[in-house]
Amino acid sequence: MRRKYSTYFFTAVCVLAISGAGCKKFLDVNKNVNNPTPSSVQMSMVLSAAERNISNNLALGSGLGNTMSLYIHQITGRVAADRYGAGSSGWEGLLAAISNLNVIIDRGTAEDRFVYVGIAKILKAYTFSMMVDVWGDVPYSEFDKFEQGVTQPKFDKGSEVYPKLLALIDEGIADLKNTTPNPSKPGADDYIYKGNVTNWIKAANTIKLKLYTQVRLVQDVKTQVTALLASPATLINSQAESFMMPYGPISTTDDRHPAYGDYNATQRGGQLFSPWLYEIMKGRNASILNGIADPRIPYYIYNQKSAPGGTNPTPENCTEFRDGGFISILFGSTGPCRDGSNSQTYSLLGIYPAGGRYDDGAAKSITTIGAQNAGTGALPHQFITYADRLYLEAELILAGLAPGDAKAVFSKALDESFNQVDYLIANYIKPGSAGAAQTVPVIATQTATEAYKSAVLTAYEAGSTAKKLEYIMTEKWINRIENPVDNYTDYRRTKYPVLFAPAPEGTVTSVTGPDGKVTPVSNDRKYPWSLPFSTTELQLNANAPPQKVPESFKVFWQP
Amino acid sequence: MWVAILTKETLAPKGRMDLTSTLPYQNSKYFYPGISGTVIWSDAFGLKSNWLEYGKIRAGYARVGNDAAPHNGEPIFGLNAAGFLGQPLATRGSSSYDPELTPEFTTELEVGSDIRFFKGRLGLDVTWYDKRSTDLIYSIDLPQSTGYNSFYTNLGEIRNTGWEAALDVIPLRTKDFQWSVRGIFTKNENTVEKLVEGLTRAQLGGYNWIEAGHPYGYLRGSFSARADDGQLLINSVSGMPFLDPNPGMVGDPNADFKLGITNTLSYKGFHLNVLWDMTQGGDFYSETINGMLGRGVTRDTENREHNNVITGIYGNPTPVAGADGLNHYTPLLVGGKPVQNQTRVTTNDLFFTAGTGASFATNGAFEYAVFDGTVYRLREIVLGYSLPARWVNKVKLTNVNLSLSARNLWFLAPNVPKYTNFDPDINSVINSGTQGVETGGAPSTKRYGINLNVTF
Repeated sequence: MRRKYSTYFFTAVCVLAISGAGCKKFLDVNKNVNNPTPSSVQMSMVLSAAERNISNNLALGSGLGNTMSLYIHQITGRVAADRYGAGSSGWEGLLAAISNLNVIIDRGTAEDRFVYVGIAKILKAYTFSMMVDVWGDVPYSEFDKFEQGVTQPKFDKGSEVYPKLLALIDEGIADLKNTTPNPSKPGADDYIYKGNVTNWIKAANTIKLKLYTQVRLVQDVKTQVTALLASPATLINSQAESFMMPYGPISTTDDRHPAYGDYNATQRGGQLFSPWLYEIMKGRNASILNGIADPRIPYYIYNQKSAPGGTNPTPENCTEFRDGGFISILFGSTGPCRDGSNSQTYSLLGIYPAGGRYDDGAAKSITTIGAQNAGTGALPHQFITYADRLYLEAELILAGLAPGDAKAVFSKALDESFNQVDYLIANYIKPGSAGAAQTVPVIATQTATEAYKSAVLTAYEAGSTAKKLEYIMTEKWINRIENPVDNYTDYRRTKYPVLFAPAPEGTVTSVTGPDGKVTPVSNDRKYPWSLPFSTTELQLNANAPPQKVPESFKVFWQP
Repeated sequence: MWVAILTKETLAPKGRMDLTSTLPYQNSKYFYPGISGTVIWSDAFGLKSNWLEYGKIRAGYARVGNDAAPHNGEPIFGLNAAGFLGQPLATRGSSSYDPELTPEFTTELEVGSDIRFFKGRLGLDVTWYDKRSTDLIYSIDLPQSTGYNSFYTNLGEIRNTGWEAALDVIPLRTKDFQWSVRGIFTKNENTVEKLVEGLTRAQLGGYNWIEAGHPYGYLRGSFSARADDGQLLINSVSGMPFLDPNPGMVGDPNADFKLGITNTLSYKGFHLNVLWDMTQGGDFYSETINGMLGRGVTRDTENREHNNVITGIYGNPTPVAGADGLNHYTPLLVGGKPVQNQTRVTTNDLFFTAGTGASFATNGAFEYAVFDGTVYRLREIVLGYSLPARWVNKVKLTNVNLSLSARNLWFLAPNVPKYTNFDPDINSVINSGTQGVETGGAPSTKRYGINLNVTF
């Protein structure tokens, strides 16, 4: 009896002793042992993830990329973006990628990893500038301050963000030039430049040139751009120095470009080649490049069908816009043949815009060849290329903001546009390594190319200043099909190239295709000058501005 | 008298203390008490009589605590070892964790009464409860501009209050035959009293949201644009309504009340059990009904070979900022007066327009996909027979019972498009504490069964 009571007494004392003492170590088991924390993660992996995620959200083929490409009339599709009705995509993805960069900046500064910090700052400035260009107002000063207690970040006006971004780029350049020994430097983990600091500084300066050019209508940028253009060696100065994010073929992981996804799709209709761009490249547009046929068409478009009378002429359902083997649908179409299933019939984006297939005229559907074999999908996303830099220079000279000969620079830009096609195909896409290998001819040295360039320069010479700008911007638009966000930005600034405008907002009520078919088109929305804000963000953030009206909300650099 | 009360009463206090490793150390110890009691007042006040047999009042008050799920203490990076182009990737996780996490507590006050009349032929149980849950541990959504998209923290206060009543009647009882009826009524109101400071609303998933002062898990989505007097604002070019850029509360998935009535008849060895129940209210979002109307596969859209004109007035195509700081569509005025809509649309456009938010089904505003879930149902009929004891005992068994059952024989959902034959009982979102969202469940079935029960 006494032993029983003393056992109970002893147990009770033990329990009270343990709970009274607290035993912090005993309770301290809530650590996650499978994943690294911000203080322990490797910088290289964070940088790789940030670069890939930024690119995945901006490239052609992504949600934002395809919306922009439709708005700028380079693709068409049966999607919400048709008739300018898109919502916002890419907001959450881009902000998440930038928070990765903030981890690098915070820890890298503390640990003297200045090259990582410099790259992260440049990428952060670039990505935020793209977000301002698309949405106008973004949360910049209060972004990613959740640990400091900011749960409802306020939005900053674009006009206040841009100067801070330019300052951030300068900080990044200074970090890259910092001579303090770094414990580790980026190498293969930096997909873009493999850690080459000189190239990063060139990219940074070219980003600054681009940002200054974009604000030139609301701000005097003459001194800044003249200073940047005075030493071209500090800018992107060759194809190998272009600011691009490579993608790869499919191997153990699927590293292919987002736009290649349409090759894998069983149902196609959301990423089709725009007939407006097609007609301009064919030289059939009455007001620009008329009569000048672009030899790049087989590099841009892959036709799954042949012309009527050829080896594979019959479409699955009725077609709307057909020119021989080129089959597509129109923007704003209200015709009866728009919605039919034509996945093996429609023309797809080819080797240059999507890393897909060069059109050698074989008229084989992608299903026949096999999506895995048709192409490698190893097209890089082109943030800013050498050709882009030359087009910027030509625009600035024409606007009187920089010294030089606009025509000579424009001619160089045209040369580099064609060189870019060859450069990307030979060094990145490598169609010879695809399952159904192809030998793609070099375009820069073809006679058709020389004829094209001289015809364009002749037409350019003969035009007024406005027409000259239209030629520069239209050629830039054709060349930069893979970066539609910047195409959208350039259109809003210069109002070139002239876009397709169905009635009632425009004047076109129907389009007669090359095969004689007449399709009615309609669009009742005015052109949107920015994208709507993310509805999720607005619902969760009480300090966000009210949802904008895209037709009237202009980004600050548009007067 | 007072002594008599005290002897007919029971009182039961309780208490418990928990120590947990899943909360921050300073909050890892928590204690919660409870107390309940009953008073049989029919005995205490000597009120027993021929018609009043038994009466009891009970009340309880309890507080219960709960800790967090494990491994929710610090933000982590998601690793992707296979990575991209041969390089591994690490992406910062989108969840953030509250370093001041405290346990969650639920306090419940319950008061009820049981009364029996007429020698057990009539019984009534009524209970009222008020349950408040505070500091719920939950992962709330954050706007991505904070750097994260969810935050694991303690969340305001949720209140569940309601009534439960059960009525038992035995209208007929003879030597061999008995007919008894049992009715059960429940009514629960689930409201979010408040959330954390600075948070207006949070998403529970998909279309369910929580917001202070609103029902728990209410459905939120888009509406068609309407003028101040409620008329639809129509696009003069397409003839279809504009989509209001501001979403709002569309429905409350919590039912107003539920009622079930069971009739049991037994005669010698036979028994017949009929269960009929109803749910009143409870809105739900249905992708199936939306799709059926949009594709025109039911008789609801039978008359389609003619054009339609939607009742409404024309609106200006560009929204303007209103007094509340939000953008609204405004009526198109000609000579100061609104213009009645005269633009014809096909039936296909009515239910399936391409272009955001224009139609009344597919690609339409969210409000047209939310329906009222009132349903009346004959849930179960069971007819069974137990073999008489003298036969059963002969083969050394205790009990043999054979029954036929039929479930879900008939239902009526009056507020759902008639020819869709849709049963609001389908719920596609499980395990998230939310209800009222259906994204393509299979139709409910009638089930017939036969059951043999032998007890040794």
